[in-house]
Amino acid sequence: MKQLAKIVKHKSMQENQALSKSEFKHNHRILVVDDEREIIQSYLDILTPEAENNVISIKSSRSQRPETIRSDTEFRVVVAKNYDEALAIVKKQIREGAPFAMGFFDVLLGGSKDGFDLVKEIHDLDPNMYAVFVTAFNDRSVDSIQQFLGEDKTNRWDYLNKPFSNGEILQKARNFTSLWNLNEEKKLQNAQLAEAQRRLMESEKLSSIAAVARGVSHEFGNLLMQIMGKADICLAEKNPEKMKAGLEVILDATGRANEILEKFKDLSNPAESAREKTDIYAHSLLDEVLVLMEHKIKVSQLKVCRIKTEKVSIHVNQTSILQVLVNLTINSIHAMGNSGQIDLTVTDVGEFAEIRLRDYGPGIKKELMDKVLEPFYTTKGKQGTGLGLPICREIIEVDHQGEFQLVNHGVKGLEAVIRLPKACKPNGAV
Amino acid sequence: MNANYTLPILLIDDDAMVREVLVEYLKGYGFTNIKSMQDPKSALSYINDQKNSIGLIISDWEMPGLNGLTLLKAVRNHPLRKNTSFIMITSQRSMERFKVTQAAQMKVSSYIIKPFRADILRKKIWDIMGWEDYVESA
Repeated sequence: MKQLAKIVKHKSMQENQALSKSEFKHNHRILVVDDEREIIQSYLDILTPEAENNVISIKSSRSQRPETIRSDTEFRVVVAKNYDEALAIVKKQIREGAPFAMGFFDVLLGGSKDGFDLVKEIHDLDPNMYAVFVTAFNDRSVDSIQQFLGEDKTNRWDYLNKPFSNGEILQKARNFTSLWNLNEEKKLQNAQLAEAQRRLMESEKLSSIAAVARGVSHEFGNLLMQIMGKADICLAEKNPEKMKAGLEVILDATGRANEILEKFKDLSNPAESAREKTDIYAHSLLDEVLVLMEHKIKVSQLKVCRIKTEKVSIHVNQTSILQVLVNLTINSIHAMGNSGQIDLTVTDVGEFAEIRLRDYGPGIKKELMDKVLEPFYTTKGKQGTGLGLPICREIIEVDHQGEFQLVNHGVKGLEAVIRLPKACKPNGAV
Repeated sequence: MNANYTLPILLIDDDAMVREVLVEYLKGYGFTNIKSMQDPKSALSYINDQKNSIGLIISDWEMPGLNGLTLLKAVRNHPLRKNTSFIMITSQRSMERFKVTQAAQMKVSSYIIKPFRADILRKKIWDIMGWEDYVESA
């Protein structure tokens, strides 16, 4: 999973690099809440030394800022003098999609509500904002602040005692704004990564659907040929018995076409409902695969042997498991060329149902065994995307909490061993 | 020249039901000398055996083991059969263009996509055989 994520990330990052850079805007917005003008001015002097809009001209006695700690980031500081003003500003910024990265909060705000109340209120609106409490009094222990704000916010606040030094303020501002940006950037990247991964999975799914679709199209051509041909022959037929026989053939062919279409719908359903899991007998899924693959199996003269079939019901997403089985079958056919054989077994192994799909191809060289499960590794040159097997593993292990293993068979060929969780109700299969 | 209903026709399709329909089509046109085969490999041996008289070959494209194009190539490379009429049948629309080009290179006489009605095949046969007595059915 991690490896897939890493590689998919690498690929998607290459594609999205320009995009993600332009999409993520760094946030250096800081809220300062204090009822004393001089203190506010000190904040402004420290955080926005170059700004011209330092409307308050009184210089704090503490703002003897050494040149060396001049801020290299441009903080955008908004000040509020009391609880209500602060809350209104925070709400406005959220509405405008420009939330604060952090804030400095005086504890005593002159009203009935203090800085802790304010931050608690703000965290309900915007849990991502960092808060630094600045107080002259040791009026509350850190434990009681933690209890008040909630354990889930532990990493969202810090405190400073007045009088503060310039360096303390600047460094807290730098730390918390960069933390905020790191978090948000990571969230964005994760979302992009998840999206890229989803797209890759989706396109892989479609490509193996394409393989099945070609077979289905051929099958449909034949079925339509029977229907059209028999109908045409019946038109010219005078003998009612022969006409009736012709109509029977037509009905059979339409039934068969419908059956294939139903299976194909199972396979290609890309909707969210495709994530739903239902109970089904493991062997029924294998039956579906064989119907879907019938044409391919016939054309490549593949012999399919059901070695052992235990009746065991599994709780799975049918679409994705069908995908896996179709993928593995196509791989086996590619590995063996024409006139190969695959052996299928379904056994009940305690909490899992085990499906084994064994071919009689060359197997996989020991040193390549790990590699084949890596995304983008392919032996098929330009024909393969190399996503088949890793995605099979993802579907089994991540989506279904099952087990997926590839082993070289002792005698000949490759064996895929899939273990899937059984249905809760053992007889609940439909 | 009018139709020769004793023209020896070789029909190859691996799908039994389709083969049955095609044989009925051909019989319906009036042909009496139809050899239908399921297995393309046997068909290849049949073609290569020059004792067999073949006036027209109708073959499916996609078959197990050996496809219609291989049969067509074998026919065109056979000294006695290189001018034998050959009609290719396929159902895979997605590959149609590619297949038409390939088949054309091998001088396929005609090309039909499944499904098709009886008259279509009849018209094609009359056209490629150069028979002049084709009459549209009512």
